[in-house]
Amino acid sequence: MRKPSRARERRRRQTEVNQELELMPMLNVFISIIPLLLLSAAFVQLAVIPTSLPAPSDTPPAAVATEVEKLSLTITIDAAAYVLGANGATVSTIPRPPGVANDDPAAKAAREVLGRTLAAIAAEHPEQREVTIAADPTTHYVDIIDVMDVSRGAGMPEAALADAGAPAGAPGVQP
Amino acid sequence: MKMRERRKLRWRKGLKSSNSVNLISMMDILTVLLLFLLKSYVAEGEVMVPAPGLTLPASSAEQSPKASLIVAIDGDAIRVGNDVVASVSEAMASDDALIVPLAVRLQELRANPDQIAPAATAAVDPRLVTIQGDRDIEYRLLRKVMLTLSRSGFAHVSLAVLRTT
Repeated sequence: MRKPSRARERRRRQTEVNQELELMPMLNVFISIIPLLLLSAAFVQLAVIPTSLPAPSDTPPAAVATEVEKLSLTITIDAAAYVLGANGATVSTIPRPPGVANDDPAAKAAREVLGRTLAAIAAEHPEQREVTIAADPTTHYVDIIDVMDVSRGAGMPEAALADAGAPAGAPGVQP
Repeated sequence: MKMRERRKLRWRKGLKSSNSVNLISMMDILTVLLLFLLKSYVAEGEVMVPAPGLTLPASSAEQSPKASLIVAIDGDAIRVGNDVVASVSEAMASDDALIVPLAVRLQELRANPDQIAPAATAAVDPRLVTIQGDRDIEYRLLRKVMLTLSRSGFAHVSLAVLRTT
């Protein structure tokens, strides 16, 4: 009475075991691959801004200025203003709030005004692609990047760096 | 007697079904995760990771980074690759237009171009350099680094930024 029932049960158990998929090897592979990929994955997306170091001083700056239709645009980042200059003359001065974080609404508004002014110049000079960004020695890197963003948004993606106070067309980073 | 035996049998049955853990749902999660990671790994191309301890400025730039020499500038050190070559305070204090220890290291790299980006898979432009600068460094420091780079023959400078979407 008892014996056949136990044998049947054992047989049933065996067939049940055989029905299941053997997942452990696959699981082992996954468990070793996923940490590897997680470690190598970069979760912050980086981009780069190509900056042309100004050419060595062999090219005379005057030659650039005499070209027709070619502006030498300079944005000077002052402590309290963005000074926009073309061919050495000041075109406009856009006040910016000194000493606030760069994501402050007032600072954003100042950059917007600068962007509109640049876009107006870009509309007049469609060939213009370069702009020189002149910075004070104590200007923060993030401010320079912000101005580069503004000029790229206005259609002038080629930004070169220079010293504030240097004459226009004579960039500061120069061997 | 019969009741007890049946109960015993049912109990054993329940025990047996909980004996093997159900792994299917876990496998589902792991498969999705694996696909996602593989995709992000393939889509990136060249992987550039910001140096630890520095906050890059955010920008709307969209150009992807290329394999190159990396010069990282944070609050207190200038690194080439993973090695600290100069301290910021010394570089700022000196009256030289160049940063001498950085220039020395760069000259070594010019002599051995295969050390420039050892982890890179594609060919590396030996004149390209990527600057990873902390958002709060001052322009005069950046200027010194850029001047040193251009004097040392690294003429194509890219500034690394965080991509904002």
